[in-house]
Amino acid sequence: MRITFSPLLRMAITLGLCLGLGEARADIYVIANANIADEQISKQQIADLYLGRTRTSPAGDYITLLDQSDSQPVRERFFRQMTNMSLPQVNAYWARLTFTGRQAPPQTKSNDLMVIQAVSRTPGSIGYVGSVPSDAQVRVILHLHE
Amino acid sequence: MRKSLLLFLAFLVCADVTQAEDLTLSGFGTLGYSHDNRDRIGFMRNTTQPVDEGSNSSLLSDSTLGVQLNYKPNQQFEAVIQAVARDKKNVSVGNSFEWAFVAWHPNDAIDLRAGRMGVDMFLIADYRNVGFAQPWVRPPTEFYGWIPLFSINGVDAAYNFHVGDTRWRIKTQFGNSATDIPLDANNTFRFKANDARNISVLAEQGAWQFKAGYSVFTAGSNPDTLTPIKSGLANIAAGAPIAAIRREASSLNNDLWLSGSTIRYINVGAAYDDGTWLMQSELAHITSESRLSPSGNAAYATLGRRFNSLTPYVSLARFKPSQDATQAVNNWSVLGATAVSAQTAAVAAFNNFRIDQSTVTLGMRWDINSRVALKTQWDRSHIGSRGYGLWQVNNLVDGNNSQHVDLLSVSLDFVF
Repeated sequence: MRITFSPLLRMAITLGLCLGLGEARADIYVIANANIADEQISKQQIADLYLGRTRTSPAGDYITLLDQSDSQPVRERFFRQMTNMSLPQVNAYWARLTFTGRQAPPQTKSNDLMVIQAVSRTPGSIGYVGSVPSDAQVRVILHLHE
Repeated sequence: MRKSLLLFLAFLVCADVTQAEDLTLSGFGTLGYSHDNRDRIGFMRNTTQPVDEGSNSSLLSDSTLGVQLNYKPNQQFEAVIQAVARDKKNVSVGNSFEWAFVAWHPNDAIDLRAGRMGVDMFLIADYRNVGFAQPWVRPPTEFYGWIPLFSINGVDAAYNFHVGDTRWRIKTQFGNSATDIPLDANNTFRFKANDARNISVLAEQGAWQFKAGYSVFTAGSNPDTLTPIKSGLANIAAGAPIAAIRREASSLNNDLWLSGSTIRYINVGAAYDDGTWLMQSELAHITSESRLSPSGNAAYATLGRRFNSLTPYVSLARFKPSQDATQAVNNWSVLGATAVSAQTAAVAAFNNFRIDQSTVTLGMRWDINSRVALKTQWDRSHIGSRGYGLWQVNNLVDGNNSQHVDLLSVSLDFVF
């Protein structure tokens, strides 16, 4: 039996797929270089890292943090989910850490692809992206659903 | 030498822009404007600012530009330099580098630093220049305007640990500091703080932050302007024909010194920020062996609430002096004009540094975007008689009156 779709139905399916994809994009993937010992890191531990409260993973590895630029919507969603802070609050918080010399700010990458590339080639690094990473050197250590 | 330094700095900046991942360039700034409604006194944000009592408004008092370079070759070592341009009497390349230090983090719990660093006193002394990180246009002057230390040349150590979900940080600093404080239009006093030591304990839990600290240092210099006054007083104390005047001159002369005196601060503070409400309050007890440095109790409390990008706030602040104002006791005119001017100058010198004031503040912060905020603020200060230590004023003419001053300020704060 051959199934045929009317053009209208095809449009609806396409639209549905796009919406579905859009929903998938609303997820956030916290990714780590494959050399990091921890299989999973809890939301609280990731929040502590991104608020400069710790420099190491639960297994004791020094972590190199990667951040995204303010222009990427994923940054606002990430910090809202992790810390319940708005971007101005996050930036004011980090200004205190940076300009008191307590912590250097994380390296900022301008999009998901660059975060994945950097995590892939930097041992001990952690980043976050809004799309499913497909890089053998990169592991998802925390998956946040919105 | 200077050329190679410039080339080196240019190299650092270029290296950062192009590729180097271990260098981070960041910065902060404020474009501020303030206007007071009194013709004969001038506003200053802190005591390092140039004396200009005649002006009502200033674009300089709150304006700041800071640039910081972090070099982090690995996870355990870090080098940081921070250059800040702000309104102060003496500007040089040396004092513009407010910080230049190396840090060593041997493990996650310990931070060790050496070089020139921010003074970690009270809740926010080490980021008092960074407007974007604060709710107000400027930190309350009753609490932060008189601190004579900005950066410290020395070492510090911090120990971080947690008990349950409370994070603790114990930190101590040791070093020396020097700050240029203008006395009048022509004279500047290099205030030296020797053997400055401070210890602080910080506890953070959820939305709360508590900090307690103790600081002590020895003043290491006297203002040059004291020398002629003191020799005049010494002559009168030795040779005046009236015993009461000899006693007064001797007493003024004995008290008129700063170098070698010990100055101590004890402070506690609390801050709360749950994302919607924010609260911050501090208390400090200041003691000084010398009457040429303020002593008393300082306090402020701030409450704010965020409505999306708008944060209205209200604040109260007070500095209550523990020393009485100095007044002339006897009439020295029988000894001639020179004697009278020595007496007047000595009395003014004591009262110049005395602070007696309170302020009510209403303000609004508007976060224009994630890195730029516009603030506007109205302060009404009540200044007590002979308590103008936080204002630019001709103490001989106007220092005896108590009065209200209204100050309107607007600032644009940013980080990059």
